[in-house]
Amino acid sequence: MSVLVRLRRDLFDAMVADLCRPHPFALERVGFLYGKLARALDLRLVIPFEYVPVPDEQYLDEPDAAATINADALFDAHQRTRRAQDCCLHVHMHLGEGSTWFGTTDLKTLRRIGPSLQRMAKGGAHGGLVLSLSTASTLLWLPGDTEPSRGRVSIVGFPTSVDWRR
Amino acid sequence: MSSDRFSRQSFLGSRAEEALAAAKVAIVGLGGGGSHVAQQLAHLGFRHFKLFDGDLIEDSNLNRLVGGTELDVTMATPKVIIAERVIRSVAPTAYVERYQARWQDHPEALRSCDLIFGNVDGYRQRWELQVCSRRYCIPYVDIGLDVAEVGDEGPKMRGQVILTVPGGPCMKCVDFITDENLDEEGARYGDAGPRPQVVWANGVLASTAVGLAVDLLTGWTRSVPSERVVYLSYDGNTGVLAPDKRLRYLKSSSCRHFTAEDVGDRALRPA
Ligand SMILES: [Zn+2]
Repeated sequence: MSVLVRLRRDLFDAMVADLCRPHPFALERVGFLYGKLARALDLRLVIPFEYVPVPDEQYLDEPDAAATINADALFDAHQRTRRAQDCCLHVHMHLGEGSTWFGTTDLKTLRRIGPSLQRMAKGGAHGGLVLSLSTASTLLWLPGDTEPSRGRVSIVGFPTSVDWRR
Repeated sequence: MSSDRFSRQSFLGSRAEEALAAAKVAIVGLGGGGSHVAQQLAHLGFRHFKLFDGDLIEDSNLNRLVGGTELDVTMATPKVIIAERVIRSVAPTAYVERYQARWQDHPEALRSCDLIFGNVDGYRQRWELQVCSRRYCIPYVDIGLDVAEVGDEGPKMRGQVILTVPGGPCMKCVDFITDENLDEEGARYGDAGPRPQVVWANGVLASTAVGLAVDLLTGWTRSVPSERVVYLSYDGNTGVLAPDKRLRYLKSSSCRHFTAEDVGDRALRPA
């Protein structure tokens, strides 16, 4: 079954603004996006409602990776997900306009984080969201799935961008 | 643009044709307002329709229902079938799902849409569409028309087009729907009565709603309403359509009736 993330434009704008902020040493920022899973006729919907940036002190100063967050950052996301039984998406951004997709390192990170979040809230959809300045792409694990699905992301507001990728 | 059909609307942008063709649109109510909406969306290049209306056409609908014929009245054709016929006469390969029922009987079909047009009677029905549009993060365009006789001043025709988006002010925030008018309507058992309707005023409001939807999906005007809501009032006696005065008293560009977390299916959480 296909998956659609319906992201409010004000949330999208807030994430872009946050992820564009320079960090004292990390080259890129990360956050977590929480949402609810819902059922529609021919698709599953993920409807995000809150974005939580990773605090400055939860980044690791590792020269190899652009942004590495420490165990506390992941622990906090896990705890919140377990408590609220919500969906949780790891969010980062690639600078530039137009469609974007996860890099090799991103995918490695996601394959670790997605299933670990799945264990926290089995009824949710979890994974990652990568933003550009104008769009977003997502890869997520649906309840019970062992492999992730590529979802679509529509950005809803003024204007509304309907994701028409198959 | 891939064909000549849309060459006269190329100003909508290089990706407009794809955007309109991809959007799944729900039209709730296919009478005087909704029938115009369906026809115009088909002309514009929309290709995914979900049509909701439980009613059959009657003689009293023929003064305004676009596409309706005398034969339809004789045959008591469902309004959703008339709308589908109008859409297919312009776009034969469009995807049309018909629901000859209340949308509340097929909520999962409505939730899968990217945009909802509400052409319904009464405040309660509008509010139910507003609630669904918020829970499932869908822009909602509402149109309505009424004619009132006030004293001996003669009939006053008034209407509205309201476009709300998740996160922005809702129809209660702009004071169009109030607890008082919901209660008052409830006291009349939700019966809004057979409201006077005319084809030209329905056409003005439906055209305006379609225009707002096209801008929402293409961004062709490159303008974003600072209030994050559009509320246009129509004075049918003078023909003036303008931003409603109540927008001036809007305190915030956020909604105070739906919290951010009020989304998705209502489900019991595990303890
Ligand atoms: Zn509100």
